[in-house]
Amino acid sequence: MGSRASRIAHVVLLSLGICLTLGSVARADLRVVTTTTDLADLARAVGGEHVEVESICKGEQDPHYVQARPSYMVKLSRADLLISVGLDLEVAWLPSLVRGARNPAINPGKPGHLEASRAIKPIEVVGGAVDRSKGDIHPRGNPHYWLDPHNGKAIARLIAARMKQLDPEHGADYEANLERFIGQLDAAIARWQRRMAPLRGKRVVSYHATFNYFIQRFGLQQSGYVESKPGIPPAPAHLAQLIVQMRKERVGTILHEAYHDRGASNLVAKRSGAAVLELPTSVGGARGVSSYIALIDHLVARTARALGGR
Amino acid sequence: MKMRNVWIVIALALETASATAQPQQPRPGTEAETGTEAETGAEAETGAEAETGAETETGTGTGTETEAKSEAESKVATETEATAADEQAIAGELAALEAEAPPPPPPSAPAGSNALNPAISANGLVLVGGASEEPRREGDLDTGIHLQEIELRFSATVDPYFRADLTLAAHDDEVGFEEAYLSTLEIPHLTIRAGQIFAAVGRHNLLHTHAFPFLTAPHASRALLGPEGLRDPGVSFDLLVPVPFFLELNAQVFRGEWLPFQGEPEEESEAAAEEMVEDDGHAHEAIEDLREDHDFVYVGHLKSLFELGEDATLELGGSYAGGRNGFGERTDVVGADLTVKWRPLAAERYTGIDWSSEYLWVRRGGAHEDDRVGGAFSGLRYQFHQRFWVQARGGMLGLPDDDSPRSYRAEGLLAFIPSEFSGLRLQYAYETSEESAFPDVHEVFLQALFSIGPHPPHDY
Repeated sequence: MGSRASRIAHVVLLSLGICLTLGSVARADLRVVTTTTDLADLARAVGGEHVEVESICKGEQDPHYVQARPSYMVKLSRADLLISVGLDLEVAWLPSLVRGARNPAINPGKPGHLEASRAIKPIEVVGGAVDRSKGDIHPRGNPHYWLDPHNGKAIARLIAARMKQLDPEHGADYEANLERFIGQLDAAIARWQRRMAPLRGKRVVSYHATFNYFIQRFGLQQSGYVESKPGIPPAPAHLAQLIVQMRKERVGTILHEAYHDRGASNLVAKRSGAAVLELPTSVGGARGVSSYIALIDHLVARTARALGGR
Repeated sequence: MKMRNVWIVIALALETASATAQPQQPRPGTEAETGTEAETGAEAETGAEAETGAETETGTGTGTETEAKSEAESKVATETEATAADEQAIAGELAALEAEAPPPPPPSAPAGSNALNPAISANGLVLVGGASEEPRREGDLDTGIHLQEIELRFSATVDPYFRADLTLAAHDDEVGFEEAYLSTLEIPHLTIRAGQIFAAVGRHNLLHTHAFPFLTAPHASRALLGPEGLRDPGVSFDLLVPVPFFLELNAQVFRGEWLPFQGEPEEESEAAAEEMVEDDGHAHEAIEDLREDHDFVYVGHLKSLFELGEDATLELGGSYAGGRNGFGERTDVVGADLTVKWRPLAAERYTGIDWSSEYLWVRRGGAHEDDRVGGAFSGLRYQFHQRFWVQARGGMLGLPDDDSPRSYRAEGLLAFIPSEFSGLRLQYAYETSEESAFPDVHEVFLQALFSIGPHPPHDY
């Protein structure tokens, strides 16, 4: 009787083991969920064949303002690694999704929860006392850092290190993929620097502080913003002031994120004689922008064309 | 000596970890990862060593190695042994730490005694307006200026295993916990919550007052479930069912001191359920209560959500609550809800349509000839500007057709939202009842709302 019971137990355990083994063979080595498509592309570049990557945001979406759809919890519940932008960009929607995912591997503080901002040095960190009279500010710094390609390199390195830590078996592959990607990116950066060099010191205005890292990297100058304060739609008095300033400083270009309403930017452009340059801010945000390098390529080409014409 | 090298690497890793952890003090509300991660990383190392260490030790343990070990033990108390595999893991850790930006970002707030405080936020609702009639049931809006509610929320992780969320609400002279619960963090697929929680009956019952789509809860749910809704001390098991779409199952147990589970005052037994609520205040003594302390209310709720293309979702919910009521018999509460949301991904901030409908039905055994009452409501919201939206809702009580008289309520609302932290909402409501004793009611109210503290979540 006892031996029979133990035999049954053996069979059950064995089949359970087989199921588990089969289950783990069938899936990718690392399931990665990122908040944005840019992080997804970097994760794919580094992870290669060993990872399965999904992004919560779509490329044309405003990453500040995402609805915490429960269907995203399902994606997160199966993830081994969650990569977020950080610096409070996703603060309104990611924490509730992570809790709803009920996946201890990606809880804050776990190796499976990576804030990519740890790879970079943020700009516009607000020191001292802060309050929301300044709008919906990010006290820990401007979170749109991925638009500086040097930061792209740093993020890729951080992702590779974390993938190695979570999946040491394929560490060498991640390392090799990283090197190859950095090589491609370095070549592209040299190309971008050459293209942008003649435009140093040119002034631009943008709708939101989205392009500041890009502007800083390529030596452009930020003259002002169309929105009154972060997250606060433009007020007429502010726009009037901006128009006067743009005329005085001869600013000819307004960088405008595709997901923001064009009304105010168009108005300012018309009154100041500038042109609105609608740009994607993430991979997938415009036609042909299918990778991180293609995104920066697109931004450089269009900005250079717009600024060079004057 | 290879062993010694390994210990140096460990010490280095720990040192680097603590060095990185120190300048960046963890702050509640933000994810100061560096600190916690270095800790958990070190923990993971010791864990792995404890497992694999024992084998190698017995095999290769020589004099010099034990010396090296005791020396190292004085440095790292809980360590036992290390293997080559660990060395690799530590190298990985180090690489991970090195991949971070060399100068850690300056802390955003002065660290100190505040560093481990919970995240605190507050919401306020102020009402001004008038109604053509005196309030009929508890929770109806009354002419004048009111502080509708002030809500204080505190939340923090308790330790690596639990999180606590407290919501303290004050209205009129009353202060109480709207919600206050502990929830688990480390169980895959499942969250267990214990404390004061909302019962997962329907969809609207799960909302805090400040998140109500209109100024009050729907009249049907206030009449059927009580003015406060269903919330009580209880335990909730919230399972995310591992299927390819969103499917959540809630199983809950409550003390359940709720209107549908109360007895009725003897002399009022002919009255309809909605009158019950009105009498709630002054007829308590007359209520015969056959509920025992060990009578609980059990709640089951199933919610699913499907994506309809990129821009829309369909949410379906079904719920049941049952238990012994004050008459010593069974009460059943059944709910069904359907919500469709359309939000174009590229313009979520500017436009969207939400349509949400709910049906509730209550059967109270033991009430005069099995008191059965149902009600339904359906609301539509259309956002046409970053700062404006309009809403409409219709509701009725007395579904399906039964003896109790029906009543209807219609609401229209215009919202102006200067930022995600403040708002002004103007609502007109009209209510009519088949009962001749109740004249039609017209209400116009303006509500000002605000939220201070961390960014409010975009709940779906």
